[in-house]
Amino acid sequence: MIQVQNVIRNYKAGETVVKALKGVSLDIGDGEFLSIAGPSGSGKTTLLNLIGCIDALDGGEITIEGQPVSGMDKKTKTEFRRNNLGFIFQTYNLIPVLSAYENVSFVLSILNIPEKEIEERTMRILKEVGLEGMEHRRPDRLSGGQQQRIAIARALVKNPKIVLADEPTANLDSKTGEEILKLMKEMNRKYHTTFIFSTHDSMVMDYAARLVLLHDGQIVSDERR
Amino acid sequence: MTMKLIHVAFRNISRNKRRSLLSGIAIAVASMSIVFLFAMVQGMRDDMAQNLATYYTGEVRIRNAQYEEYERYNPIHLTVDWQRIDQALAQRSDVTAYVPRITFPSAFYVNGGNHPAVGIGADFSLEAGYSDFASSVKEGRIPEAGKNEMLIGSVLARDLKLDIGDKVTIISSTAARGNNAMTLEIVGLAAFPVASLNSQFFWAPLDRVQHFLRMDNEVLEVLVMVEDDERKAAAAIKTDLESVLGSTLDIQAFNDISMMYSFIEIAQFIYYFIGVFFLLLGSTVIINTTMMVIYERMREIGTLAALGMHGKELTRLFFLEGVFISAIGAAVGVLIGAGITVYLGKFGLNFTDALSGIDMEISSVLYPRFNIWTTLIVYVYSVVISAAATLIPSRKASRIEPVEALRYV
Repeated sequence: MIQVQNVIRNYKAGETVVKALKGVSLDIGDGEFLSIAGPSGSGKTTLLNLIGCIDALDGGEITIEGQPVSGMDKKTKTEFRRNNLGFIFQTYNLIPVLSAYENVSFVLSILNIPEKEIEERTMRILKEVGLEGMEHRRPDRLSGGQQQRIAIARALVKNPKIVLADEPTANLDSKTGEEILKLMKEMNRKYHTTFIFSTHDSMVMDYAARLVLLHDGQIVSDERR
Repeated sequence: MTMKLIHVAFRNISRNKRRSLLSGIAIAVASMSIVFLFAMVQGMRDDMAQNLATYYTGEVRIRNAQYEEYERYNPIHLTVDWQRIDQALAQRSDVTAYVPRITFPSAFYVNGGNHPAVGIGADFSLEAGYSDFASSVKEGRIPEAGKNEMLIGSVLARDLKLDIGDKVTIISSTAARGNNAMTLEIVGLAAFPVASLNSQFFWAPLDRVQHFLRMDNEVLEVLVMVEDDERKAAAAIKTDLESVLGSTLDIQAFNDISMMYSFIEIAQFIYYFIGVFFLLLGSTVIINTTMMVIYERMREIGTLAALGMHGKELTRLFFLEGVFISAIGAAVGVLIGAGITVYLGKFGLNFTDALSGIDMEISSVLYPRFNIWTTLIVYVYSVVISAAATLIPSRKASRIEPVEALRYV
């Protein structure tokens, strides 16, 4: 489903060129629950951003569902993300002026789905992530765990093929983090959605069905469990 | 999608209330100023037109064709045939009223000295049908025809320590270029809306002025009120009178005579541009606010882009925020401006001190003229300009790369 072939990504930091990814290759199948782990600066987020079509390749190729990412222009990438990808962020990145319901349904509005269907799907996913009865609360009136649940609901409500999560539990205490991981795993099982998440937390790694370890922009191990 | 964007944009206004308020106030102040400015200029223009028509030139003025050329020499011998003009104007359906006048420079011999004053010889029975002349009499009464009486500007009377019942000898050059003097009794004090009329003018019966100036039945000018467009009426009257009197007359509409009125017409046009500058100035605040908002919500822009929002949709989101702030700010500004205009339109703005000693055909108390259409145009104008200004920073949102935006701290 996702083929990462010899991917290179360099960044400029002043005069210095930082080689974030040095020829990474990886095949990810449908419905995998995969963790990209490694210390800070190992290239986890960069790899996620490249798979998520929000960053540009310097070399190599990423093919998702048979479509090469390098050939896509900005508009096509946006369309691709809109239809196929879900995102979960470390800091939740919810829109503060919108309620839980509105944060989730907003994604479906972008897809121009009829209002009735938006309501059905939003209410169903909010129930599944355990936020029933909190639909009208704004993010500032919810805990970090509850906010991340909204983010998960937002990522899943459009039934994407792939959900990318960048350190989804890093801002949560271990108990809440574990609950979030269980929820993600449950959603992965239920919807057969591919989950790719980055982490440097060993507890999170334990939940992964496949663990890819990155170090200095290179894969050092790829372990299926 | 558009509905959702509108919804989010509207909610976003409340995110930083103080900043939104500041932007709104800037637009409101600009809109309010423009509404008031336009109303003030229109009020000045209407006031001047009214004063010119009533006291100085009529809507159409008929004078001797040579008068203007020799005006600086006080050519009171260059008269017009009042009786024949009267007969011709009486036949015209587009003429609503007309009066003969003789305006002449003179000197008051008071307390052993001469004091300059401008006299107006008028037929007060005709003046009553021409304007609300009687309302200008502050004290006393209007002079009677055939009697040596005068109505004097209240400020002139005060300055020369004159009052009702006093007798004043006036000295002037006659149409025969000799000098003459006549003693008139003050029977009334006048308070006109124009400062110079109060401080320099006196009014006397037309027949006594004709006798005093040796003008027989002639007059210097005829002031005419017409029904429709003054310029068209002036042209029509000219054609009509020339067929009777030949090319001996100078007939012009008031807006072609008064240079000051032309200045106000030009000023009104210029104020439309000044209005745009006012709004552009107000819009700089909203541009600045939108720019700050974009930097502040950089991560949110990245998130929305990651979720699949196109650059155009992001631009629209920030643009709509600007439109809402502009629409609310402009509405408040226009309403306040209209409120001030209506209030001052009723009670007036007193410029007596500022206009004292200035020889202009503008009233000392000015009344801004409220116009619903002008107000609506200013509102639309304000929203369009400030919203267009918001587009400049809003477009930046569409150019931000999502990966950079998500990394932004």
